Amino acid sequence: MPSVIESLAAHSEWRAEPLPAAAAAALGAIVGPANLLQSIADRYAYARDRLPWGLFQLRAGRLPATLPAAIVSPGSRDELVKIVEAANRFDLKLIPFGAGSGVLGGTLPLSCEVMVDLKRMNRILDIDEIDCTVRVEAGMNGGQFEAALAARGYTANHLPQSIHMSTVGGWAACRGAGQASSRYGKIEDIVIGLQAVLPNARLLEVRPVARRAVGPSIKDLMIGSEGVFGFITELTLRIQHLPEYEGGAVYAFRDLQSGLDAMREIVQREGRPSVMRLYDGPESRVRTEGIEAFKERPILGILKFSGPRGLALAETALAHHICSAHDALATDDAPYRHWEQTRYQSYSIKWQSAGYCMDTVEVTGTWRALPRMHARMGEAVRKLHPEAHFGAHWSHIYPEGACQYMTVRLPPMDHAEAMRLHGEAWRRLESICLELGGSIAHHHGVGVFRNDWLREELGAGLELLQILKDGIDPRNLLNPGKVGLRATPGAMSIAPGDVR
Amino acid sequence: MSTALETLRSCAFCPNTCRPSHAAQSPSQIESQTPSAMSLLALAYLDGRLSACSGVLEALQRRDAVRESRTHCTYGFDIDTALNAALAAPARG
Repeated sequence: MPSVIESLAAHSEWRAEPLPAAAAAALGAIVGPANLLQSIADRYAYARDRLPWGLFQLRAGRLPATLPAAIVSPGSRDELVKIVEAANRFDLKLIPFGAGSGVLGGTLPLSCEVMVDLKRMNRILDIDEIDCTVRVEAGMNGGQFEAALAARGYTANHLPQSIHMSTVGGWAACRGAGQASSRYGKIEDIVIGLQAVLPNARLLEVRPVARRAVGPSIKDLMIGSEGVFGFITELTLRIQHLPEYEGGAVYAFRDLQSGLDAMREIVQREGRPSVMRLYDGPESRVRTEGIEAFKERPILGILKFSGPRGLALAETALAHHICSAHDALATDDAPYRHWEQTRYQSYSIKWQSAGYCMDTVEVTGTWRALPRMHARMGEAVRKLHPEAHFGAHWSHIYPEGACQYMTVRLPPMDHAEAMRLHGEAWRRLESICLELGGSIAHHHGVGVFRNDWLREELGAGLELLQILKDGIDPRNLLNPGKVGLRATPGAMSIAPGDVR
Repeated sequence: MSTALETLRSCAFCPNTCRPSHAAQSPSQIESQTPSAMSLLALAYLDGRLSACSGVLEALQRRDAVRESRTHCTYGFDIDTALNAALAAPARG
């Protein structure tokens, strides 16, 4: 085996400081040598997550971030506590790592941090059939988690497209949403308790109870913290019995506004389909080709009803009444069946591997603002390039508004120009969102890529978060530079439009 | 060879939808053994971005997760075979 020094000399174009020998010995003693990785190759594999901008750099032969100094994989909370204690002794920066499926750069190393891969902590600890809750370790794979629950007749109903490529802890860390959020809520509504290891290695417990009135929500400081306030190690989630009934419905709307109105009215009249999806013109077209009803009514709406049969059928009837009142036609359910078959797949790889720059941006808007948001954002992206694609759908629906989930795709072109246009697309979309009173992120989180706009959205709220961070982590050891918080001096910066 | 490289390029940029095929009970749960990471490493090696002294060849021998993913790939790829084909050609490094 080559020495670390020899390996670094051969890869001098990267920032790749190794782990100091004493720190390596300490970490190796905690987790065992097999669970401490230091080779350049292993560190290279952890120098990315699924931030599309990072993928574009890799595709162009450039590394999006620094190499991490090492990767350490604890098998228990006790080992993790010792790792954090060692980090305090040796001044090591740590990044919690689940499955690396985040798309905002939340786990990218910016200053050769140590990655703490939590996937060995992957067990269900308890299913309580009286309370209908499950206790699970943070590193458990989402698909394996749901499969284990299903084997006992339950589901957590947190069903993101990324379910098979993400961890339960990752869902909470980035404040994610699943496809059934319109009925069951986002992860912050599903998690009722958690345990965490703080930056000073102390343990934090938020008791798993339905509601509390004990001051501001500590749970909500951790959910969405993306590792800056601590390592989430264990979660307690609500679960439901597997549904007695599931059924889908497909509607063709004459225009986008009538579709948005129908979705709004369904939830405002207390209907709660488990899945509600409305697609704009470009996204409807690719899903409805050859279906007669969509020739005159080109906007696609997909609904799914789940739960006790009587309740689901009543909601089906309510939704049908509302959609019909908006002149929608119930039609061929092929788009629903196709969605069911492909709901956990990634659509991006055929474009990314063909040299396109494809990205997704999800924002939250009010019902009043959403039509303008969609029109202005679409126009702003289409003006960037004659072949720029903009499509949107709304699939997390609330009485007060919805998530507008947008796909932006630029054709193959010179890398620097593509990065400029890609950065400009982000700037335009997030700026319009802020101008129209929305939130810049519905469920993908902040990571590092949304830092600039977070300051504008949170204002003094970001100062509060920084004060908390400085208090709980005065040496900035945990995931520095993420969620709009202070970076390590000399850290690599990442922002939309950057070219490596 | 070109088909193998195309497969690796697609896999390298896929977010590992096959991930649950790797058992939770497996003692090793590291990212760099996932099919997507192995594809990324192989491409970096073949492009000359990762030299042999990086530990890449040792990493590319850890095939358990890649083999377990064979029947779980959304896109029908066999990454084990693609890695063998791509790495059989003369490599830089």
